[in-house]
Amino acid sequence: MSNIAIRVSDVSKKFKIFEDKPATLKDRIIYRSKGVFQEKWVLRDISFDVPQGKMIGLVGRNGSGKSTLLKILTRILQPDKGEVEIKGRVSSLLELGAGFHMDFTGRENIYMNASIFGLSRKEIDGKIDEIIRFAELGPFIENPVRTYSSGMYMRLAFSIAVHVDPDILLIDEILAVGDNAFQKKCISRIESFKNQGKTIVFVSHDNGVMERLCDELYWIHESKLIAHGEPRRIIRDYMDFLNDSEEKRLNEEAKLNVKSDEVAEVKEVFQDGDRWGNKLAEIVRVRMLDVTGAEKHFFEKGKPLTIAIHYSASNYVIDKPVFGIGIYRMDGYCCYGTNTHIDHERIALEDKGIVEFYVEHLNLVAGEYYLDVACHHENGTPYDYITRALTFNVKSYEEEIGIAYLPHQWMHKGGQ
Amino acid sequence: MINDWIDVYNYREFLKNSVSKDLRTRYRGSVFGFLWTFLNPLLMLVVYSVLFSIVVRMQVDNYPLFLFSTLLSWNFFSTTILSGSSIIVNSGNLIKKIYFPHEILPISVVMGGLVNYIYGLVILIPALSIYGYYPNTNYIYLPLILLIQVILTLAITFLVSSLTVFFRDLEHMLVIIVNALFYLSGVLFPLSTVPERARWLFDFNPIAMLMASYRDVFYYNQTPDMFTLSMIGLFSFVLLIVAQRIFAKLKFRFIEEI
Repeated sequence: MSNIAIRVSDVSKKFKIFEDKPATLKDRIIYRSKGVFQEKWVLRDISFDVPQGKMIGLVGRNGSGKSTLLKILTRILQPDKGEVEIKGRVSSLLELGAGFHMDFTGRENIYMNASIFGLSRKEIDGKIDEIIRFAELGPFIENPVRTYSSGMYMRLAFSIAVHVDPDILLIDEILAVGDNAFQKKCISRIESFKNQGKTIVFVSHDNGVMERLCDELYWIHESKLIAHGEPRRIIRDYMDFLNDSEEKRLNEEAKLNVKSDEVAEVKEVFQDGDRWGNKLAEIVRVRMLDVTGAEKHFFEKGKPLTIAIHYSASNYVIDKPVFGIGIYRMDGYCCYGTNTHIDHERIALEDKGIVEFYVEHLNLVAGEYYLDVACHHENGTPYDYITRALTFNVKSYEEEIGIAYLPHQWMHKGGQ
Repeated sequence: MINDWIDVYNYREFLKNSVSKDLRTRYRGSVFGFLWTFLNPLLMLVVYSVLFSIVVRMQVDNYPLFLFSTLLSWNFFSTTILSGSSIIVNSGNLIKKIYFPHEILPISVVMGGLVNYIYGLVILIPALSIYGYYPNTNYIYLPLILLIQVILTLAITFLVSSLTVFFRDLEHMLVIIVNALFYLSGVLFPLSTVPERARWLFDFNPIAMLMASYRDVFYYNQTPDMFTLSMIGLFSFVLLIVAQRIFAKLKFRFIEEI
């Protein structure tokens, strides 16, 4: 393993989950029992190599075993099976500020904390100024840590952890630390580690950062390593998987809602929004369909979308009906709204029917949205107005920001 | 096994910091603060002097000094064992957060006790001198006796600290055991007053033998029994090796039990 920094071979780890922790003395002596427990495998047969100087990322849902794997890499936990070989000094950003003593000053805690990473006093002496500067603590460094704000505390802890000059750095979800400016500093510090040829194992739920920084991603699902490879591809597969399971969950929920109401009283199908109108024409169902005509809650940016509004009208002959839709961001900001009147479409109502709103390119940025639908008279009298009739998600592999995607291209004309 | 010790050596800076943190925070918030390290043995000496020269009369010359010459050593032993038994359990926060050789924890308790003992000598030796028990050439055996005590105490601390994790009752049982051991350590009375049939309790008791050696040096001004000392030294060393092996076996399961 000449250029392998971390070798994980067939690592498995189980936890005991006690149902009834305290065993009585009698149980202990007579049955040699230590209480009732279940064994749960949190990692199964994980194997991978990380070459020196590479940065790898671990993705997976909460509870999939990522953090346990990191803890095994730091030697906090021992695997039940398999082994881990590590070459070089490891520093971990798993639990920041281990061993901080609240009554000691920031400076004293630097010596304390850095020594837990295995640094000698001389080494710490050489780095302390840099640590203090990076933590942006200024004169506060001479105050007891208990007087620090939580941001100052975390900055100090992070600063120590990144200055121990490790060969291997393990990072777990630290980007939640500090304000934006400090986060940027953390990221650039991680990048500079990378450029210095350090080996890094990174866990984050920020897929953008993962994709940008990591050389390779490993996807852990239900305690097993199910895929690894090029970050872009893994993230795409992982996002698809997440969306699919979210889709399933929403469908289950919708089914439950419908089931609870056998007479199919439509109101129940619609979500928690308000509804008003004189119901001369009634919206009985709203569906959002993808290009295949399947009902979905997730739509890909730029792909077609159809909103189908099912209505039924009473015996009256309703003239000049207008159907409208409005797409809102979850914070209530209207992204787009239009109706048949604005678009100069005339609709002659029958006793029932479907009005479809078709978008060829759903150019919304990724996020969660809700949909209002309405049917009203041209003069504004509402027949049926439903807010938050549906919620839906737009997913995207790009990371644009804002509201809508503007079709565009970049050009460069040099020498002008 | 050697690797464990090398690991401890690599983390010596952390060990040093833990010991100093311990000493500095022990009297945190009190008015006299660190001064208590000296006030404690001094006041203890005052209490015993008054008690045994006025209230109780013992058939021993300068009994307070007879007592005091071993009491500090005994306190080093007993407080280390008692606080050592809970050190792993109480350090759960650290053990769960970061890797370090867990051996550091019991070692730091023993080292803290040792430093405290040495501070105690600052009171003990002048007190002895005031009564005419001047420092003498036999003091050269003091480091050796102390070293043996440290090895023995460390071995026991390794055992009790790791076993307490799995059997919490041990911590409370130890209070009784250590208390009983106090009366068998020969700190309170000269061994010559012990009836013949009970003598074996002291003769095969490493603690009692250690205490006797301290008394030889401080009180009787005579050379301690080197044969006895080397026997306890050997015993303590073997016990330390065994205790560390047991500790090393158990330490991987600490995190799941605390």
